Amino acid sequence: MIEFRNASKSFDGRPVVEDLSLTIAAGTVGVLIGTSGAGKSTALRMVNRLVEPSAGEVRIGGVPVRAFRPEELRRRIGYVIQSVGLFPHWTVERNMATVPRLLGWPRRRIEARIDELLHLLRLDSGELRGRYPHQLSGGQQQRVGVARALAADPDLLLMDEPFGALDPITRAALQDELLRVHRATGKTILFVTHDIDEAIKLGQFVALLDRGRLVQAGPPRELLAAPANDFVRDFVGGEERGLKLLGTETAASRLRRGERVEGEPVPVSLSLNRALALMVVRGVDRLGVVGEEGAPLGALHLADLAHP
Amino acid sequence: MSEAPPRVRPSPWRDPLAWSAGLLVLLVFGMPALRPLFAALFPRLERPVYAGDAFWSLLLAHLGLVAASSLAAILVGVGAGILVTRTRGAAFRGLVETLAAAGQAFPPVAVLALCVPALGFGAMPALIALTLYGLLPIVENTVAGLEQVPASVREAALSSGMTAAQKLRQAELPLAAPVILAGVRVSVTINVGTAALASTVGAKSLGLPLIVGLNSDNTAYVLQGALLVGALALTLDLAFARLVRLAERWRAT
Repeated sequence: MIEFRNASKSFDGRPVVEDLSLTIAAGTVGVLIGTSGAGKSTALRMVNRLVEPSAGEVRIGGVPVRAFRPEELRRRIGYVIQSVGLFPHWTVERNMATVPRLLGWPRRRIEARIDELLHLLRLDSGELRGRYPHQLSGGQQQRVGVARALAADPDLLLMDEPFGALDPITRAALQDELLRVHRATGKTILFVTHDIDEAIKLGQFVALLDRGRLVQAGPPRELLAAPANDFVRDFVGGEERGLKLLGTETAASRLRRGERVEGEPVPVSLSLNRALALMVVRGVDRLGVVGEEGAPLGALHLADLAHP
Repeated sequence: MSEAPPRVRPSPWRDPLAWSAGLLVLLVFGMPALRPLFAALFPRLERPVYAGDAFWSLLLAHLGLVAASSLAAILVGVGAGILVTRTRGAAFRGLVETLAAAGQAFPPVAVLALCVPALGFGAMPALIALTLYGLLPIVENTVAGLEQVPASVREAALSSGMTAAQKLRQAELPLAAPVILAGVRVSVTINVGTAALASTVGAKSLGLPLIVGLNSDNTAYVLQGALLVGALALTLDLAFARLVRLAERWRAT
């Protein structure tokens, strides 16, 4: 659990984060979102003491981070940044071993952990472990960055716009990967982004910051369905937030069970905004829905999308 | 000719370092054998080959001077370069760079002349002059090398939980090494030439045949000393070029 308690930070008298109070529950993905200069990265960096708050404090599991030596704290917190920051003179393997080696793990244990992580992040095809960072694609580099952050099995992962520099397809793939890793490991993740779609996709809890202040925090559906003010309304997409709202649910939630519909069926895991788009493309007002194995489950009606 | 495999070990016959080192060894041990040549070139000289000391002992003494002064210059220069690139030492940066530049702007001959009254004749004034003279490229390249380490790498080092010393040793110095070594290479190469001057204050070096030759109007001695100093400078320069390549071999793969 990460708690910000009235945390503030100013640089040269200019406030960057003001009186931030926020709790991210253990095992969840929390997202700090806002425009550039909103203070989200500064807030994130308070957690591993790369930034010390001018007032207030940050607690992890109830203990103020001030109580730890910075080096010890950081070895227990994974950190991933947009520019990746892999050590260019070290191989993939050596990069991933960074924190375990700082912690003095025996060689065997490090080797085993690297095998595990290469597998977890699907980096085990080919001879990647002996390569240098400049020999990898952007997506592979960021996977290695995530693997390095996870290497010492930290309870907490901080991610500062980690996928911001990637092309949309790689980006979407890595978002899916992160969700999979999160399900597999149960880590608490604090994620910074300026992309509302990324926040909705990844976050169980989203906190919107503006000029250093918390504007609204809650599950993504809440920000979309009940924006606290005009700023939030605009930030989450204005009128289009209706479509994003649909994006938070899948066909399963509006299914009319047992009904049969002609035409190509859609999987039950399809998000409702894509289901709507498909109806428009096909010029139909209902879609057949099938389960994971392809067995017919029922139908999705256009009319049901507007009224749950 | 069959197709060359992607990675061939270069043949020693094509290796300039091997040629240069070979030439140096030949000159050191074969100079007396060249007596007929020098006698033909300088027919008026009674003793056309320098025989005051064995050339190998001059070479060793010369190498000793260069090694000791370069080692001192590396310790002081890299140390100062590290210091002024730390947050706490940043205030000294201007001062250190000015001092290093002054060390090189000051002619080594003048330093030698000034040191002799204080330290007497011999190797000591030569070592001080050579060390001062060799500092600038090392300080400058250490600062430049450390500054070009990407900010993202420094941030990654810190956020991984490295201490300042671990960050320096594991990330910054290895990444700055090629640039620092390039500075050491310049410094050492300059010092090989400058160390010949040490013989003016009584230190043994390859400069001895040069000084003796100039004093006794024996051009053959001067030529022999110059050839040896040149061959040594070339060999060390090529050796350092190889070391620089070794320090950045991860880039080439």
